[in-house]
Amino acid sequence: MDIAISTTGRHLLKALFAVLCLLLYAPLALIVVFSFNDADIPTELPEFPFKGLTLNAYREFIANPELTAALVTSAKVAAAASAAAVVLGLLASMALVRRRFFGKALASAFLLSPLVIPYVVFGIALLILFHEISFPLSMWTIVIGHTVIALPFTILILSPRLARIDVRLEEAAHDLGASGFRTFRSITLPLMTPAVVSAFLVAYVVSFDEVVIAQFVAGNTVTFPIYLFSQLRFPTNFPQVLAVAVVVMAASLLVVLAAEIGRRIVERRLHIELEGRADEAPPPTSAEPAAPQAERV
Amino acid sequence: MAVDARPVARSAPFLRGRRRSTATTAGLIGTPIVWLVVFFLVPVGIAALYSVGVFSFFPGEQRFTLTYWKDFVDGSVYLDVFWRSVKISLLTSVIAVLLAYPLAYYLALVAGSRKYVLLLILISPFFVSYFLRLFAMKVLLGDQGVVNSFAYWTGIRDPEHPIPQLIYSQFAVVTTLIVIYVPFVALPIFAALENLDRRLLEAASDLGASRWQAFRKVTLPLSLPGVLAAFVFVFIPTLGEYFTPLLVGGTSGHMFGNSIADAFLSSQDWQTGSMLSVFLLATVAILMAVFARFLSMQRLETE
Amino acid sequence: MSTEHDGETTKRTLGRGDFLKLGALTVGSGVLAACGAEGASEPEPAAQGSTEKAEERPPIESEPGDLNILEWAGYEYPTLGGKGGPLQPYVDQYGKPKYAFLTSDDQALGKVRAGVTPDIVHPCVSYVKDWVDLGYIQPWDTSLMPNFKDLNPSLVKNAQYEGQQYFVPLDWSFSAPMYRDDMVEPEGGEDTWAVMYDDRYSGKISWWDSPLENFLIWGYVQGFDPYDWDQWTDDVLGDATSYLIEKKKNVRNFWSSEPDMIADFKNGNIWIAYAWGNAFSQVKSSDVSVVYGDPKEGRLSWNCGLVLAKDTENYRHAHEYANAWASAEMAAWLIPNYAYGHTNTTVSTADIDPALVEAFKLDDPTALEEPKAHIERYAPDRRRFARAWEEVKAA
Repeated sequence: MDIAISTTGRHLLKALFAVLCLLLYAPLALIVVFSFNDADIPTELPEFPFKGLTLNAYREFIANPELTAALVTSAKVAAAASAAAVVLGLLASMALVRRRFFGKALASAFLLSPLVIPYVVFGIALLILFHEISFPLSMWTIVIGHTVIALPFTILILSPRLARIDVRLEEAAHDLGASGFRTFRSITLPLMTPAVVSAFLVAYVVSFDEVVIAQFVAGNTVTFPIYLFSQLRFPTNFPQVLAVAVVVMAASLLVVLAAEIGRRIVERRLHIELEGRADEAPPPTSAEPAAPQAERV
Repeated sequence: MAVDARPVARSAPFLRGRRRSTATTAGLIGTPIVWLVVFFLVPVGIAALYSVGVFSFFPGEQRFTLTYWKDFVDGSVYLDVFWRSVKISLLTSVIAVLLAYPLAYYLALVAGSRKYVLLLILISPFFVSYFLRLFAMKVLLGDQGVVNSFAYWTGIRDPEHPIPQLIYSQFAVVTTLIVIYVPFVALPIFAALENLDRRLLEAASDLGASRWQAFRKVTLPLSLPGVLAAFVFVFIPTLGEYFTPLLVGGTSGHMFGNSIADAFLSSQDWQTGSMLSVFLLATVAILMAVFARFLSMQRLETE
Repeated sequence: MSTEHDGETTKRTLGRGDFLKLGALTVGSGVLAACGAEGASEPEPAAQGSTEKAEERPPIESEPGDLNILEWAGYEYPTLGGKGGPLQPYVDQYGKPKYAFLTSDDQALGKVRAGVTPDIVHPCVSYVKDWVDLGYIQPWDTSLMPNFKDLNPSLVKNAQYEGQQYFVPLDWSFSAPMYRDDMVEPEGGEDTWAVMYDDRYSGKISWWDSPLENFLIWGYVQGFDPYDWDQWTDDVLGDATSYLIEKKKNVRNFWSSEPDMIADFKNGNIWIAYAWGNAFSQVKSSDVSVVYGDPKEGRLSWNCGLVLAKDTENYRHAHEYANAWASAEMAAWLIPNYAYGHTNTTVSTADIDPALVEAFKLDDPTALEEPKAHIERYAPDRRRFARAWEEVKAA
């Protein structure tokens, strides 16, 4: 018998999964449906009944300068924040994985701590900081905030990947006379590419959708979620917002899928070429085998 | 979501035989740390100073004082709001974890080869903008929304008297938060269950255990770290939730995050707002310290 | 008129709090001192206190032109006036301004303190002093606004602070309890503010999310003058807070966006709400049977308008925009469409639905004053009420 599950259990769980997915996707389906709704008053939040099909919302949002500007701003902010988070994440990962130093546990806990800070508190604290040093609020203050919250994500993605790269490759490069940076640039970084891309994408999504911190430190800047929130409260062009949402949803799903597939393909190829082991080999159940190797040479 | 930096067999983790420049190490680890210190610790520190009146919005009021803290602890309304937030967060987290566990179990131990695809399906809603999912919940629960329309159609309620507690209530807040967080919560549980060595279960079976016993004695205990991580990952953010209670909470769903934001934006009381923020942060820090024993943060190192 | 009373109130309450505020904002007070000295020597009602003569300012073409306005929802172009309406000439010539929205005067102050920097804000007249104290605004140069001379002189005078024209008074109207007359019957048969607390309509009531007004209403229902600040001892405030907390259970939500509240009314989610005249005219047009109350305690009344940021780079653009707002065209649009009064005196109400004119006394700005209505007045210690309101919301 299958010790993990009985046949009735299996059916029950399948059903539960289906029901819950339905529940999770119902709101999203509503968004898609309403984006085609022919609402004659754009200044009202859509409610039933559904009035009729139209592509107006999609047409109009492209022509709406505020909406498109907000999208562009969010894209820029996310790009900057992700880049910064990936760079900082790479530095941190290199230190945490390849170096020994005192207080490593504390450092790693500190670097990961933004994961659990309530964003309301962080947004306000940042606002206070900028206020005290009279630093004007702008797109860059949002970038700063987003970099902080994206950093743990990039570290969590980059570190395991770095750890799996055989360090003897780097040592070979050193033995051949390459400097630390050259080694990093020519050996480590290319091997890390899939993880770097993943980290960048995750940071991008985190930043693009983030609104609490943005709300507090944006000043006059309008990012897409800020525009959304303003439309929820003061709907002037609401159906267009739904149309954008559908487009963004589709786009991010595509990007994530592509990234996942791409990552797996590249990883598989790299593994076969350089590390000579297949993905499916089970990881060692303890680190014991590695230690004697370290001492041996 | 612990960092798994276990080395591959037959490779040494550290660079041997070359001078490990401490300057480089310092630079490597120092840069991100300095960034965090400047943009994370320092702001929090300034907020703490605001909370004791060392900084204040009107410079004339500057003086060190514990009145803000004292008022708070002495049973002010903010303390009540805090406990209400705890209640809502607790409810949300427990239900979310209870819902997510069977899902993760299904994916990890039952679904077989399709598990990653199904996992992706489960997580995807998380990529949709938070606000839009919030708005969609409003449409679902609103007086003219899906649930109520269904009720009118079947005659359970008449259109002038929609089910009142669906929206603008604590129920709305809890339900919305659960729908938003369940995909996120399933991940750590899934990770924990996936790492479960099935041979342990088979051993239990060979020893004559029933499914239920195997679950209770093997699966559940081994997945507990994942469950705890999941719980933490929903409990702590929901404690400080702001937009959900604002938009669907009505008059009784006012949460701690709202009090903080109001203090800054409407009451012009930065001292109280900072005090509340520091308090929330301290609470979260303590909770994290407690849970850190169960979360394997140590695995970030490669020894 | 209430001007004297206003001035008296202002001077009387210039106490410790105000002194500290003024003294602390050294930059602000420096400018104020300069303006004040200039203004004091010019007794005309529309005093100009700008530190530069209009001719010395750079021409409009050299300004960036990206006007940023902090406005009430519903006052933004194109919702206000529609395409081809009174703001269209400005938009055609200078481009569409960017709008951020405020939900109340308190929140507008909070937003600006928190780093939003609009060129123009649209607060209400009782907050002028707060904006001056904040050090954020400068007086308007009325010589740059040809339409300014058409504005009602007494409201213009009321909008000055220390002789400086910090505020261009534009729209005015009432705040009153609006309710469904087919579903709601006020206690005692007479319109009263107490309908906001009526237990019989639990779950169908909406209050405005703003501290002061909710306490004012309570004060009027209790029967004392809530603008007599001495009456608000800690005990009285405590009583008010407890009462509001108790009646909160009847309240469905605290509205902060007027379009939201209007939608709720139209959908039948709400039967009673604190509302401005605009909400009434919008809801009425949708065949929901609604009445704009005239409570026996008296309606509240307000007069809102524009203030100018001190550090604006769009000085002339701002004046052009304010001028467009002050125009007879704007008045001619605002009055019938939003059922608000407008301070431009050259517009006749002859073409407007007499029922509306009567209901809102649109042809009579003195309708804003005592005893017919209670015009808004400066409140010296807003924070106290804000804290009490926070208690009500959080309970």
